[in-house]
Amino acid sequence: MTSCADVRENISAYADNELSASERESFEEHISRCPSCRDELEDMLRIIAICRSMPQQELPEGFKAELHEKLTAVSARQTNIHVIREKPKKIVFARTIASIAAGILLIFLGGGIIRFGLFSGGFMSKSSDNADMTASTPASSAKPAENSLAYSINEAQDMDIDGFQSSEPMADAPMDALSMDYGIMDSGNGAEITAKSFTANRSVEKDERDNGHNQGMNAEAATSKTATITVTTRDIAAASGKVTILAAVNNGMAPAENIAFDGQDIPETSALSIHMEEENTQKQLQYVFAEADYSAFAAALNDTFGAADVQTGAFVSEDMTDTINVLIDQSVMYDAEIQKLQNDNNAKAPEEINKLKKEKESIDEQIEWIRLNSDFVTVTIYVNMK
Amino acid sequence: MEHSEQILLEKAKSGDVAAFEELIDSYQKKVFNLALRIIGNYDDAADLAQETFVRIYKAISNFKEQSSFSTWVYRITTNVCLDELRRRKNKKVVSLDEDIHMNDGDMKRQVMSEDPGPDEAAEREEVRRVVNDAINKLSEDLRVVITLRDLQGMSYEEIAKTLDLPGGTVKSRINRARLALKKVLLSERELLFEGYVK
Repeated sequence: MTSCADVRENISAYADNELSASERESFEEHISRCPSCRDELEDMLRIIAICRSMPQQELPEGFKAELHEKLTAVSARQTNIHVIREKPKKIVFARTIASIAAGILLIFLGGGIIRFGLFSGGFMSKSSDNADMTASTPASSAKPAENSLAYSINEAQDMDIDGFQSSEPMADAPMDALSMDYGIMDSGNGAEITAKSFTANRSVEKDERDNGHNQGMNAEAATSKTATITVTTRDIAAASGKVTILAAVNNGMAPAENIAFDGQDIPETSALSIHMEEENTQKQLQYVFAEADYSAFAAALNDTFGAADVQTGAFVSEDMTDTINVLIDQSVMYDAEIQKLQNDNNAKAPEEINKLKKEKESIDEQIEWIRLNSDFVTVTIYVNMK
Repeated sequence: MEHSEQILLEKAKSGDVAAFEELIDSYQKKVFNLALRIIGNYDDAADLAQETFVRIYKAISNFKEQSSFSTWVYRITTNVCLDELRRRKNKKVVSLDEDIHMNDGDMKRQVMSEDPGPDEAAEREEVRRVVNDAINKLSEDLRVVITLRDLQGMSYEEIAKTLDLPGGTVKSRINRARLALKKVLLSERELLFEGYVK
């Protein structure tokens, strides 16, 4: 015998024709002899009819055009190396690379070997490399603005991981810059030769890449993991202090961006108070945790502030494999280009080498950042006024 | 999946913007309306719908085709919108008054254009306004399922896949959402409710 309570539980599913044959049968049997449930069903049918009659809104004017612009911008960024915001004196190297970069998803065989040789040792000894780079190009690590430039590039590579950044920076990027200013070479004959050798190598490299792709070789898997937690409190300063301490005791670290950009020189405070944006009603803190530590940290927050005031938000895991491999390819290409220039006796070469090194540095920082993010969870904690 | 959709999908995966746009053409209005229903504000819904498609474009090469493309599209849409809602809760920027105002304006334009005669139009418009407000008052969990079911016309199974929820949860949420709507409608506009759709 079906009870009224059972029937009412199933009313929507019945109206939607989502009951099994036997459920349906017992439902109908009950309805046939129970007037009050029959009324309920009629009400439900009305509700459904009203909901379904709600009009669909038309797309806003200009929606498709705006979307088209955004997609084109993303597409341009995914296929181009990056933007150098100066007028090209001679686009040679850059054009070639831009065309090579189009369509690259997995790394080619030769590149893979260079890469592993380069990075397995390269990143460990980064501090000394960094010292040189910092001396010649202080902007790359000293100015926050430079960091954010690198991040807007990251973002274009599908790295909108933390949700702070809207898609605006990307959409606002001038298309002229994207399509023109890829890179700069002005080393006369040397540049011409370089360009030709790049072009000549290209078809070979592509074949090797395809082989690599088919055999599943050399692809480096990467994931971006982020999470958000919200703590509601009456005293933002005190609560932020507690969050900071809990993060520290649970092995929370400075976000990868600080590690990557500051290299060996991490200020002592950065591990404890990162990315604070103080407002009257909210403070944001960001830490990087190993996954197990993240769970422990979330549990500790719950214990400290009470479950009612701690909201554990979305844990987002995003596949970054393609992104990191494109970046690695680019880095390898820069190496090759720098090497060639170094073998050149052109008087202007040092200037270009520095420029390219600086660009490569930015790419390497992104690679390292993705790698770090692959192993850890970047957690944003919002401390909100109750 | 249709043959042509499959071809477009392959092209889109290789970065072809035109193919991607053709592929999503039939989804744009639905995604926008889903976003509108979840977020409750016309301009924000437009922004979120755009963000949804940009994300889909960026991620499409990773789409494994284990679910249907449409399920995947709606899943990303709901994720983008629910993320935004959470972010807003954190930042406390939601303005209910403004949202309702926006929706009223939009409703009005829409209904007038259907032109069913002045009285009936006014009545229908009123019902829709009330229903619209009532849906907006539902908790986001209930609002999402009822939108997917009654505005997007998805089956329970599709909703379960889209939201990654057990079938039983979908079923009970839909039922709860409708009961909640009924309660709001009856308490606020009993006559109107009685007089509407038979």
